[in-house]
Amino acid sequence: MSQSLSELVKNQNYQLGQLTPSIVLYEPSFEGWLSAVFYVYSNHLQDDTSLQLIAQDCYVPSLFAHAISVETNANHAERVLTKLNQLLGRSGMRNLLWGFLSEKDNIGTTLFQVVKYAINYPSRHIMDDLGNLNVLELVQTVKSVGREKHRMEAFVRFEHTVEDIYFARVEPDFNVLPLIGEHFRQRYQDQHWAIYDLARGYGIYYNKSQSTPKRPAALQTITEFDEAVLRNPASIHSEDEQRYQRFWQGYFTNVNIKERKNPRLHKQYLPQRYWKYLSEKQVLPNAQHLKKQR
Amino acid sequence: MATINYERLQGKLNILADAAKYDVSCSSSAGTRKNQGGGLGDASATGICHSYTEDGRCVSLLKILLTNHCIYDCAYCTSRKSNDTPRAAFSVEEVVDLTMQFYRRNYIEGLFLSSGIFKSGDYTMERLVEVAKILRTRERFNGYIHLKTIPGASKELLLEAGLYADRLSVNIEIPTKSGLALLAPEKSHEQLKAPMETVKEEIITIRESRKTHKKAPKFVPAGQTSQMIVGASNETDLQVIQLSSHFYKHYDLKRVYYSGYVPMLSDSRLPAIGTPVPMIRENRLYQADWLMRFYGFGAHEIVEPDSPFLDLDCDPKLAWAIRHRDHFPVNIQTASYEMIVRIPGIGTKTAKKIVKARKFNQLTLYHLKKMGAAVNRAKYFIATTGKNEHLAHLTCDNFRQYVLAQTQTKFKDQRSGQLALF
Repeated sequence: MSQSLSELVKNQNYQLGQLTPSIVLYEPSFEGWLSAVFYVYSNHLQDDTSLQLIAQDCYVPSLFAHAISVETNANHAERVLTKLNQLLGRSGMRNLLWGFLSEKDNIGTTLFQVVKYAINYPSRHIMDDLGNLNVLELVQTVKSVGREKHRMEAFVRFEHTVEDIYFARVEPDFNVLPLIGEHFRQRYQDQHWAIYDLARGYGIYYNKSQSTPKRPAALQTITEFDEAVLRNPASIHSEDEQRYQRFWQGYFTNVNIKERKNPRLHKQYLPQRYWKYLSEKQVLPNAQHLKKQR
Repeated sequence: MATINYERLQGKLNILADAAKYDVSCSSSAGTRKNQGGGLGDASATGICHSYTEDGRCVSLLKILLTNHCIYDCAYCTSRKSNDTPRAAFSVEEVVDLTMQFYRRNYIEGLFLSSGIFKSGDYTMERLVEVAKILRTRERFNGYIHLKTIPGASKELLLEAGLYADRLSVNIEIPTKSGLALLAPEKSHEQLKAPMETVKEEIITIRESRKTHKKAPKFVPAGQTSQMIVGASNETDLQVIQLSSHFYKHYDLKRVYYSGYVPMLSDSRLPAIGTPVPMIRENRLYQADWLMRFYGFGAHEIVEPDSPFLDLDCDPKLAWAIRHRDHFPVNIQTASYEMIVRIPGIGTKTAKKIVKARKFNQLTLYHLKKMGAAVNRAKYFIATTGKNEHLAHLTCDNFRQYVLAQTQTKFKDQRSGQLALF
């Protein structure tokens, strides 16, 4: 502790009489966080036990803490990235990125502690050390993010529009669009499609016309979308869309075995927060089109 | 291309989805098919449940019958000839259209197509194969296709089916020969196993030829499966598990499914309508199945001849551990992986984590809990470097009662009602 304080005093960036800057704020992107890690090491703050790395938009100012904002610096970020790649390899970097996308309040600090552990013990497979609480926290977070990614691959419901685009709205718990794009790109190569994250206000779009026989088109990011359409996508449904939603609802209702009804299990697997975007859940139980009739 | 009557299609879909719902298999896993470029679909190796029915089962495939007309009269089947139920049949194009449109909307991973038997086995099987062929060739569909092989279908049709389908399956229906003879007098285990044998032989042949010819066609890349109904006749769990073990060993099956019989038909040979579905028993059978496939247990270890039913009060691994207390406690710091996965409350994933993490730390029960072990069960069977006071009970005479009283089961409410059945 005394060592890091003396380092601080020498550092021109800090005015005399200032307390340890225990909070480092970064712009909310992975590059932003990498830049913050660079800042911490170049200012020798890494051994400060009260150090926190927090995304700017998550930070609630407090009287007792002093926060420093670090600007994103592509060059610094690149240097940290190269170093971490060497230390952690592909699977370790995947853990960092997935953990980051959780957007948890404390994730910047947890990631930093893991990185510090890796730097201090370069020859260890630190990601296997689940007895280390920071590693464990990260691995569990990655698991949650992975679960949400999987759920989004499952619960996306495309709706066919008059413009021949299959359009889906989602509101995932974590920022998983960057993780699910490739899955959908491989799978839906012969249709135009878009998935829009309402909670984060952006989406991904696949334009089939830009694909070649050998290579599916690259995904585009879409940010501005008509609010009225987002609230009521039925306004842009193609002629067929309602028909197939009703087919799906009829199917969903009739594959259920009433004698085995298990609402608790149902909700455990299909959490209620996802229901509003699932077409099979948008139907009255006794609707005419659910009946078995010839 | 024949036109589709959309007005009638809804009613047919409802009937034929309902008629297919007792088929348990919903898995879309182990698919290896890749989108060849520009097509629709890409089979995901892990499979995806896109929805869950209100009974809590996975909806991964469009699981329907091509028709519920049937020339057979099997007592346990809702589509049996003598049952008074609305009948319907899809055209080949209707099934293709529903599959494509559902897939495009990300409702499903693919198609599970089974059928009642109209006219003959071959006549029916030909249509199933036609659906798969059109999906693959005309529609360039790379999603998952699971076809049910129809009893009595010719070898040529089975082989053609295997070229388009990811998985083929044959239902063994009733686990005992005597039960099948009673409930489905027109079928026999020999007849049902014949297509399984054909498919197995072809899988082996193609596997061999792929070693030398990389371009040799794929044949049911996701393998074959089977299912049996439990609780419709008086089979024991010992018989069920031995039969499954036989299938895994001799037919190289990927999976055997167990379907707790749902009484919906009135027949003196069957449990009365209103008899509860044997859900706990079904669950225990799946747990036993998992022990055989992933935990290195032999069928003979799971149920023993002197008590041929699984313990409904506790899972089969816990039951085994209680019967074999001399193997415990297991020292998690030094024991082999094979022994660690035999500890109740520790699954394969946790066991792998333990083997990795113990190189860094002396593990405690706290670590195990954090890694996802069910410590409430595991704690009675584990030695750690620290003191574990729970081990004191291991040698008690009433160990079984003690452990069961201290551990939770999700079946607690149902136990009393269910137990009276057996």
